[in-house]
Order: sequence, then structure tokens, then C-alpha cells
Amino acid sequence: MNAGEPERVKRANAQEDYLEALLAMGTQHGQGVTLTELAGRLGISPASASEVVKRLQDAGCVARGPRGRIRLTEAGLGCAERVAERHRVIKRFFTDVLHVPPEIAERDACRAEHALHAETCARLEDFLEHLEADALERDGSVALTLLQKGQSGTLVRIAGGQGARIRLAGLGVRPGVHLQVLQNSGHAPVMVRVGNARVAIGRRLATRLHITLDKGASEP
Amino acid sequence: MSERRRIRIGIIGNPNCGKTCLFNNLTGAHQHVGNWPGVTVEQKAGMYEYRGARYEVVDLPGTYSLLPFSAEEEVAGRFLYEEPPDVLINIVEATNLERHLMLTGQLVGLGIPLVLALNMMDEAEQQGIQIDRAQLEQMLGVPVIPMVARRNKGTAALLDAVARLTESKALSTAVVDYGAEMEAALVALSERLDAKACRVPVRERALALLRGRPACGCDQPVLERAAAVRAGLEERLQDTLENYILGRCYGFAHGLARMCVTHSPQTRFNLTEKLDDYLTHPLLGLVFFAVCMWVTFEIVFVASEPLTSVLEMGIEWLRGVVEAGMPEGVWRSLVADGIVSGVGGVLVFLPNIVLLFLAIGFLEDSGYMARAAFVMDGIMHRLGLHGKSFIPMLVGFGCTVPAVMATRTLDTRRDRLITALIVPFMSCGARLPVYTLFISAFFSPRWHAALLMTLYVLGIVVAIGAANVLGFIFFRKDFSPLLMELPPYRLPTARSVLILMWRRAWMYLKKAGTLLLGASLMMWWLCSFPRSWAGKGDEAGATAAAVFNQSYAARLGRAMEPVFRPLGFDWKITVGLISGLAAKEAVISTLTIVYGVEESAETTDALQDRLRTDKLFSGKPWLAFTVLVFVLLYVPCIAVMAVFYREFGAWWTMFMVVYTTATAWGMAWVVRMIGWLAGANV
Repeated sequence: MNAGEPERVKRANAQEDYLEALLAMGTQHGQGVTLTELAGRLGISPASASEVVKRLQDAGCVARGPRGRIRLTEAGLGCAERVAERHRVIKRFFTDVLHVPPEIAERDACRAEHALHAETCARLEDFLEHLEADALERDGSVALTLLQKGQSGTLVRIAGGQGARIRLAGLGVRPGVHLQVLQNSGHAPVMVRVGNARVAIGRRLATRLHITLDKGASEP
Repeated sequence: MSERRRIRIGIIGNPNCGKTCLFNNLTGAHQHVGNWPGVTVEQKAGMYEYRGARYEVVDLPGTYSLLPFSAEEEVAGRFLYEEPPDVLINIVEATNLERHLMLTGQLVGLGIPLVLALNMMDEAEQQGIQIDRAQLEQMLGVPVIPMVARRNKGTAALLDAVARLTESKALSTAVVDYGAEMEAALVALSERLDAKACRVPVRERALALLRGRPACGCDQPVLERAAAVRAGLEERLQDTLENYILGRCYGFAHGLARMCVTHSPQTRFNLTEKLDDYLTHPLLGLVFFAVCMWVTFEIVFVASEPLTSVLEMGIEWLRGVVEAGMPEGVWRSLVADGIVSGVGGVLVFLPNIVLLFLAIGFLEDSGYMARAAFVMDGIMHRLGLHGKSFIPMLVGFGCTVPAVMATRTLDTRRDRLITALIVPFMSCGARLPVYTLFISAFFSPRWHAALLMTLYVLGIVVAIGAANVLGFIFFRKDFSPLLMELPPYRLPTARSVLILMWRRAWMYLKKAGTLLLGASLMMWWLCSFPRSWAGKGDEAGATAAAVFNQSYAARLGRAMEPVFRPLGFDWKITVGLISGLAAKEAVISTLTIVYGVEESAETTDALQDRLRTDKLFSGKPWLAFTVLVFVLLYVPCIAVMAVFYREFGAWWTMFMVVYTTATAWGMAWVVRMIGWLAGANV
């Protein structure tokens, strides 16, 4: 490792912290925050904050509005959300699998989120999902994609990302709801009846919906 | 007189629940369509008068919840917080009340007088769903108006309820119970907010703060406090805040539905699901889809012919009148060759475009468009797109401008950008006239439809290739899953299809009136100057062709010719292609001038004759086809560049311009080589 490496790493970590802070302060909406407010939150001087903000601006992650107010750009929002997601995954691993107390898990996740490679985090998430899937198989649920046309059941759980869960909820697909499969074949999305509406769910997403089949509903 | 102040009304509801239909019922023809500031989500506003008061109605984009997940939801949320209307109409489906009431749960606390429009009462009745209106009214504390928006039933009662609400300003009495933990947090945050800072109640503002959205009357410390409270709450609730809020809104909706809705169980024949058995069948669905597209093209191509010839005759008559009535000289040339020929050349193709929009409107309104996206998703998925991308692509067959705008319905920037980058390859309605001209000039009638179809398919194939390449090079990240509602099949009402058609055709005409007229005039100038109009003496020597040969346009065309020589194009075609940058329709009006077509009964026929006999094309139909391939694929018009710039910025716009042109050049060259290898005369 050359001498420049630790400095570069430290810089990247700082940038991620800034993005997280900007996300937490809600700067993707509205007019954004001033440099002083941002520095205050991070507990550093505005002078040193300005350098990092400049770099983030060059990278297209933040934009400066009127009177220099800082807000996240769309690209920056994506970055910040990825860091936040990584943070959540790592913390969940610490608390749920290792049973580390929440405060310690939070502190360690803050540091580990910078240190772990994106690939490692993805594997960690897969692992957590596997654990959940195993637990679910024990309670007799199956992925929605395995249901055949005409079969129905109750949605017990949606594995994975927060975004998809909210969008599903908007369409009335949420844990506890009763679904009937209207169309499920080949590579097309799965079509289900929810209440009185029909919803098409992409196959990849459909594998993450876990269903317990209705009793006696085993027609082909 | 001073009483006549303007009352602002917002209409909000889930997508496809009859919002636009209700909007049309309220405002009739008094509406205008624009964009929400900053984003290209369509903003429709209109006016109506009722009992001497003037009402301004804003049709908000369809949204499932106020938690922002797409541009539409962001827009709806911002509107309600930042410029709250005097009265809000929440339109819900009676057939699916519980789900729709979830949005209502997020609206009751906003501090805006609310009316619940209970739409699709007829369908609910057929399905044996009874709704206890009095009970719902009492539990929500807002007026509930049953209606059938498609048949314009219940509008009068709604107008009346809105009028009464503007007087009483009564707010809903219902609240969503967020549970002890969160309610305590909301109270604590509310206390730090200035109640008089704005109209939005403090509880609602506290809720917005918790979700990280800065509300009015709060400063940075409060915002940070909110973030801390949120973290604590999520810790205790063992859930993300958004999930929890939605869960609570569901509780609210479920409670209402349980008290107010009764289903009388009956096994009714469900037409939508029976149809879906076939229309979304993995195999039959695709077959039906292909047939559907074929019929659309046949309608556009065949049914428009009589209308087109009537228009052509009208334009020629007008041109004749001008030529007879004006003295020889620069002004006559300007009016006859510039204005009448140019704009006339655009108007002639209005029937094609109107029919295309009519067909698209029918597909959208009948509910089939969503099925098209469904059956195509499997294929689209393998192309690195998803089914929803298909709708902008389909709209792209009408016009690329709304198609680029329609990419807003996609959820991630990656999907939006890829879709918008390939949409220009979908052959837009304005290119159709160019195809029609060349195809009917060079090929026998029995090949017309097939050749046209070939061009459209080629566009699709190139788009698919481009999507794969772009996806591979620029955006390897994963894309968001397909998730959409399939509305029930309905027979489209003439009214809604016609309004939709009229609006889009009008947009096309407005373009013809301004941009295209400008382009025509500029081309006329380029083609007519430099030239002396000194005396009548020179007309014998200066034939039209001779004049044109020394014009600016000819010089520009000749300068560019080497670039197009490998494709076999001469400078005249080059000039036509350059003018196509202004708008694709302009290619024809320019060719009309370039080939000096004058004094004939029918301009189009005359131009076709000229093309056939031109030494570049004589006996070379394949070359004509090569020109069409280039027209199909090269840079869309200025209007598209403008929209693209607003959506994706300067760099991507430049990229789009360069890569489409390069693709067009490359494909035209390949097509020419194929013809050459096959022994065609090119």
C-alpha cells in the first residue's frame, strides 16, 4: 500500500458521511441547508466542511442553491441512499445475527459501512434474506412465483428492500392481504387479484413475496 | 363584483380512478395543459363557474400515497403543502374502497376542506357492493358524493358540495391514529412549531418533519430534532417510519371499510378476468398484441386517404388564389412557396396523425395499454427494460415529445434515461408523411403496408439493440421491478377519447403553426436567396432550378454532400434531411421547394413524379428505402431536444443527438450494402 492510500480512503469516508448527513437532514426536498448547519451537524468547522462539499459538488452529488444552500442532487441522493442501505444491512447483521446491543451495533455500523466492499455488503444482505427465507419455509410459506394460476393464499412477508415494500403497499399488496394468482407463466410478470383490483408484479419482485396457501385450494 | 374571487380546487386520487374524466366533466373545454414547474409531469388546470363564483381546478397527477416515490407523488405532495387549494376533491373507486381510503387517510389531516367523490358506483352495484354513504360521511366528517364520472352522473351534487364547503370551510373530523409512541413524538414536535406560520396544522407538519421533509415554520434545530426522534421511533417500532405510517393508514382505511362496505356474495361473470385469460395469455396475448398493432397501422394508413385528398385540394386551391391575386415578385413567392406550401404540406398529414392519436387514445382508455405492457414485460425484461418502458415506446409512435415525457412514469433514473434514449427510434407520426411520400412514389401499392411495417419494425429492432448496448455500457446497476395496476376493461367513451385526441392533435398543430412555419420560411429564404427580383426581364432566364442552384440551401447541401456520399444521397436530399432537424414534417415541404415543384394540381403527386424522374432515384427504389432508413433513425426534431434537455441535461442531450445520427448513418450504410449485395441498383 502506498503512502497516498490512507488519505484517499479517509477522504472517501468523509464524503459518505456528508452524504448521509445531508440525507438525514432532508436536503433532497426544499432549499437545502447552509454550510454552517451542515458543519454543525457533523461537528466540524465550516472551513474544513467547505473543501469536502466542493469535491462533492464537482462529483455532481450536491448542488448549491441561492445563498450557497446545499442540497442533494439526484445522483447524490442515490449515493446517500446506498450508504444508508449499507448501514442498515450491517447493523441488522450485528443485532439480529450476532445479538450485539443496538448502541454498539449502531456505532460499529457507522465505521464498517465505509470499510466493507459493496460486494461484501450484497452477500451479507443475501445471507440475511436466506435466513428469513429459511424461517419462512419452516412456517410453510412459498414464493409467489411458485403458485399456479387460480391458487390463492395470504401474503405473510415481503423480503428485501424498503422501496418496493412501500410501492407494493400503495397498490394494496401488504402483509396479511389475501391474493389470488390470475396469470403466472413463462417470463411474464405474475398477475394477482388483490381485493377488487388486478396488479402485475415483476417476476424478480414476486419471488420476494412469501405466501401461505389457502387450505383446500389446491386446484391446478 | 368583488365577490367573484377565484376559488382553487385540487383533484387527487389513485391513477386510473377517473380523475381526468371528472376534471373534464367539471371544466368542459375550458382547460389548459402545461407542466409542473421544474418537472415534465403534465399539469392540467381548468375553470368553471357555479352560482356566480369562479373556480380554478387543478388535476393532480395520479398518486397512491403522499410518500414520494415517483415524480408524480413528489409533485402532488409539494402542491398540497406549498400551495394548498381551497377545497380538495379526493376521488376514490367504490369498487375498491378500502385501498383508495388509504390515500384519504393521508389527506384528512392536511387542513384543507375535503370532499370524497365516490366514483364507479354503477360498477360497484353490478358487483354487489353496497356502501353506507351516511355512515362514511359521519365517520370521515366530510361530504361523500356518489358518482359515475364516465357518464357524467353526480357532477351537480359535487359542484354543490364544493360550493358549500368553500363557505363553511369545515375540516374533516377524522384522524389516523398513529399509536401511543408516535403520537407522543408528534405532540412533542408540534410544540416546537409555530402554529400561525402557515395553514397546514402543526400535527401534519410534525408528521412531514418526521419523514425528513422540511415544513414551514421550522428551523434547522427542529429538523435535526425530528431526525433524532425518527431514529428513536424506528428503533422502538422495529420498522421503518414509512412502512409504519402506511400500516397505520391501512388500519384507518380498513376500519372505515369494515363499517361502511358490504359485499353481497354473488358469483358474477367477471368480464375483465375472462378477457384477461386470453389477452394476457403467454402466447395468445402476444398474437393479439401483434394483430392489434397491425390494425392500428392499417387504420392510420388506409382510412386517412380520402381526408388527405380533400385537404390537398383545398391547399392547391388556396395557392392558386394567391398566385392569381398577387403581383409577381418576392411577396408572391413568399406567400405561395413559403407559407402556403410549407404549412399546407404539414396540414395534409393531419388526418394520419389524428387517426393515430385516436387509436392510441382508444388503447389507453379501454385498459388495453396496461395489458400490452404486461405481455411485453417478459420480452422487455430480457432487453434490459421493463414492461412499463413499453408505454413511452408506444406513445413514441405518435410523437417523441410526449413519449420522452411519459418516461416519467418509470421509477428509476436508469430506466428513464435508457427508455428516453431509445424512444427516438420509435417512428413518430411526423415521419409517416415522409415514408408515405417515398413509398408510394417508388413501390407498387401491394407493398405499401409491408414496407411501412418493415420500417417500424426496424426502428424497434434498433431500439432494442441500443437499449442493450446502453444498458451494458452505462448503467450496469440493477433496475426496478415492474409493478402496476391493470384497470378493468371498459368501453372507451367517445368524449374522453376525443378530448385526448383533440389535445394531442392541437399540440401538433400548434407546432405546425409556429415552429414549422418558422422552419418553412427559413427554408424558403435559404432556397430563394441570393437572387435578384429586379425586373420582369430575367424570368425567362432564371428558371426555378437555376435560381435554386445558386441559393444558400444548395450551397449548404453541397458542403454537406461528402458526408452523405457513402450513403448515395445527393445534395438535394441532404438539404431535406437538414431541414428535418426543425421538424420531420419539414422534410417534405423542403423537398417540395428543392425539387421546384410548382403549378400542379396536387403537390404531393407532383413531388412524387419529380422524385421518380430525378436522375438520382430513377430505377433505384432501394436508394429511396435507404433514405427512409436514415429518416427513421436520425436525430429527432428540435422540440424533442428541448424536452430531453429539460429532463436529462445538456450532456445527455448532446449524446442523444450524436448517437442517433451515428446510428442512422451506420444503419443506412448497412442497408445500402445489403441492397448492393442483393444486386439492387443503388
